[in-house]
Amino acid sequence: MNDSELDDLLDAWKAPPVPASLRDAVRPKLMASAPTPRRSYRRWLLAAAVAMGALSVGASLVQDAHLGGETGYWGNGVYVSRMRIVHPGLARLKWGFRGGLSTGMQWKNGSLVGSVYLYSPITHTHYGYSWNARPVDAKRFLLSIEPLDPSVLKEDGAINPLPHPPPPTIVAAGSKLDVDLASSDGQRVYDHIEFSDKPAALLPATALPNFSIVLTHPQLFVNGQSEGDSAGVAQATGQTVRVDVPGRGEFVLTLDPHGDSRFAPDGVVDGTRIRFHFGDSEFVIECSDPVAAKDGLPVYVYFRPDASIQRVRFSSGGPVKAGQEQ
Amino acid sequence: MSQALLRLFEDHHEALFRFAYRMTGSAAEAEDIVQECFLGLLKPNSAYDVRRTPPRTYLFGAVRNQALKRIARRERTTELQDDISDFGDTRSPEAEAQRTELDAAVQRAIAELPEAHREVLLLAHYEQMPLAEIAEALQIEIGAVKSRLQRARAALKEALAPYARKVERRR
Repeated sequence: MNDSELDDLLDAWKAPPVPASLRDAVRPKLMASAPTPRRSYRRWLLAAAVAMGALSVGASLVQDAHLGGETGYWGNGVYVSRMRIVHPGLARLKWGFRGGLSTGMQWKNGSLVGSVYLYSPITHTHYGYSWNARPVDAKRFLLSIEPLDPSVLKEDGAINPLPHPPPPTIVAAGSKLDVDLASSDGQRVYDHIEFSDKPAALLPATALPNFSIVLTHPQLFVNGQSEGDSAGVAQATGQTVRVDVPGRGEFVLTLDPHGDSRFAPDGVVDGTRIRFHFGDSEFVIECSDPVAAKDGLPVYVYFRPDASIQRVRFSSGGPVKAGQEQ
Repeated sequence: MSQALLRLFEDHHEALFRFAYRMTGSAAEAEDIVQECFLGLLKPNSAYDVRRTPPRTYLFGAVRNQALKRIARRERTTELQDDISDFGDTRSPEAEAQRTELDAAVQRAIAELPEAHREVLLLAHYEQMPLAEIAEALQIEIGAVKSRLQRARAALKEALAPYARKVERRR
């Protein structure tokens, strides 16, 4: 191989476009450093600008950060939203791209049931819980947060006990609940769950961290044919989202694979759609709202075959454990 | 001051973002790094001295230092590096067949270069930075820049040889 051929190969690796949020975050702070005509105030104003910048940056580090979530309808006039939150915000670097799963929800023995968890491929530990919501009357449910059901796990490993498991609680429109998944070393990862009598306010893509995907009322089309909708999940958000496709397997989608080369840039954000190709098939996830803060972003796709999947399911979730591929 | 800083930002933020992205493999981290570097210029104790270092050289050096810190922190505390380093052992043939092969292969080959070689290669090839400026940004001798670049390119020629042959066969 000569130098020119190597240069051609190297040019195949394209960097993503600069996110608009970078300009939005930096330009105002640089402009705030403008001097004033009165020299005596310059130092004070510069110090104030620096302090404001530092406060802003500092606040972004200590404030909570959203990792994703889901919204949906339980029935009996009760809508639910679950947002996964990490504190402090800087800890999203540690927790934001872990593996994980949300099973969505399904009726079983007269109750709505589901499971959610995060998974650390370093410690081989699951952080999560299963839940059971049994209707009490026309407008209320008895919600039980239970140890994570091992049968839903996709990976080998231990289950971290819930740090502060809440007792069974009657919930109705207006109820709120926090469930801690992990709590140690000054970091806390928890699900904030809210119930309402109206469809939960859906988050616009711009309200979430950069490179989040927001699937609102998603429907899946494969080669132009409808495969199904979200079965009660009105919105699934996160830095990664998962789409289960019957007879095929699980597709994990992200806008930023964090250097994980198992993800391939096979798709694109197209307004309210995500389009991606796999094999000979074209997949389109059609949503009611924009799926990302910016149009045209590449979508990275990771596929794990699983022929046992029987229905379309959209959920928030990360990549699977390394080594689980078939 | 604000106009000068804004001009600096407009002139260089895209190249700095590309460099940070290719160093860390993460667009989110690249965004944070570039933001930190420009906001760092506002600090009273900023190390930047326009009389000593051209602004572009200073900014690339600052981005490089931030990227190395984050890579080190990631190796210590998170699983992200595990995902990257495990890649070579965990792909199935089926998954590999589905990848945009060349893009991934180049990214992987560069990621596997020693850090000192990788940063020189990224600045020289992708940012077209003169060797003397690379030497100043990284604070190393120009002779070291040349040798690191040669070694990086030699390693990449070897790592990417199968892909060159594929491209050749397609022609």
